[in-house]
Amino acid sequence: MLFQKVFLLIKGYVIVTVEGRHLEKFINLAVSRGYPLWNIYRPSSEIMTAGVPVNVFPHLRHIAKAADCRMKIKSKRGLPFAVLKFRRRKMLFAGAVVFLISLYILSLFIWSVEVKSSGELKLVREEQILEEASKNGLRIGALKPSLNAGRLQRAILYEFPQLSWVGVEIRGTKATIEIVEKILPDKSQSDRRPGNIVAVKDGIIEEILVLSGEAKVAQGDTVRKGDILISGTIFPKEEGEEMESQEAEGEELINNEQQKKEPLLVRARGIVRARVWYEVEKEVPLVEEKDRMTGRKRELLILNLAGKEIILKGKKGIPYKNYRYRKKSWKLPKMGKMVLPAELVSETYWEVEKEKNYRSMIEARNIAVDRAEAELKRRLKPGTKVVEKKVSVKSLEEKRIRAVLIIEALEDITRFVPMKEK
Amino acid sequence: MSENIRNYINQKKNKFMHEFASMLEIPEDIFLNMPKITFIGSIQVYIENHRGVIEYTSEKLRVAVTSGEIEILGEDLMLKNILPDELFLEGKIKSMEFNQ
Repeated sequence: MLFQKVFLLIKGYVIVTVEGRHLEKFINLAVSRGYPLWNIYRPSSEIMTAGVPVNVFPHLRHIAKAADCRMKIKSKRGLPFAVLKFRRRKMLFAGAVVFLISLYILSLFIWSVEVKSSGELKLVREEQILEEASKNGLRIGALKPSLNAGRLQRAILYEFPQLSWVGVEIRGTKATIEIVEKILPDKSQSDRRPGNIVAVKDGIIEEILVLSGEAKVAQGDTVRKGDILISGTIFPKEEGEEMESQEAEGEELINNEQQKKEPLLVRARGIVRARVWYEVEKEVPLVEEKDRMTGRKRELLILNLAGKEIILKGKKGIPYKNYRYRKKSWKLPKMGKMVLPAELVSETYWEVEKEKNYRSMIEARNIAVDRAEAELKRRLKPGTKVVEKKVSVKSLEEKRIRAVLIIEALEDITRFVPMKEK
Repeated sequence: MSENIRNYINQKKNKFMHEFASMLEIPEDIFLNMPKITFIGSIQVYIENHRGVIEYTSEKLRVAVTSGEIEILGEDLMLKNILPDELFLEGKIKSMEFNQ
């Protein structure tokens, strides 16, 4: 049945109105000649409507005459009539075609180029990458078929030796350049400038290991921040001791022989471990006010068009006494120099309730100590050894608990400071 | 007079054919040219082997069949489809009657 209906729609059919007294005769004559009729309905005694295929319609005229009836077309349906309609409205059809073609053509261009990397860019700037991509043809307005992702990747990678990997992905009208920077080895290894090692903080020297330079402090010495620990200036020694120095600093040998009286400048290297102290103080109130989300929220969606605000969703104004708030906005991508003055802003308000949180003295103490320890952990450098830990707790006016955590640690306190050029 | 004789012969012939058909278990609608009427609830009727429409309005349909006529009464009757030997009626059907 469905197939028949589709077939009829393709062929086209008309719905006719037949008027006359002997409508049964009309039906019988049409049927006996093999002309199909359907949906025959007779709302009143002298009028009848029926569906007829287009090609049968002219034959029915004779039958209508024979049955003494008048026949009129009520409506025309199906593909041939729709085509006729479109032929009369050529511009509509042309518009549809133009729309499809322009959609296709616009989809052939790149409309936005984006640089993406997993972390912050340190060695290159985004603009540099974009500029290089643009030199190779990848820019806003570039024709998609002319781009070769593999070639672009190679070109950018070749231009920037700081990058270890470049991926160009073109999806729809958006191109994404994904870059991964090389992690360069620490420069200090190759830096040969002379300089001293100084203390970064106060402490008592626990151990000292000199790789090059001259030790200025010994175990057990108290040093202050900024004191020179290992000096890069080596003063010439007695003749007998010269040999030791030659072995240690073979490279500087020639230099050494030429200017025997002059002090030798080297880059000081070494490890100096010292006892240092950290003090962290944390206060925890016994009664604390806290925000608790109630779960109610209100969302607002605003379209900013050239300074005019159009609210798409929600109501203006804040319905809650206490609330948290988040605002997000999206702007249209820049088209070259032109900035489209349209912005979509989404604001969300979450209602919160103030809630009082009561703690016992012991709980407050534990929290204070935990917080102090957590902060200390953040401050300590990796590789630091904690030697001693002291905690003192004090109650302030029965309202707050103060915990003071003092830690004695062993850590490397060296920092290299290059000497000033003469 | 001749009309009566013909009717008599027809009756005899029909009776014989009916017995013959039931003996061989042949479907009688084919063998005797009888109408086959199928109802779907009270909303659709399907009549095969009809001999033409005698009367049709939205309340009444009379169809000629081999052994007389069938009268269907109802409301909003619509002839959904009609072919030389079958028709398909839709609407609110109230009753059907055989008239010899």
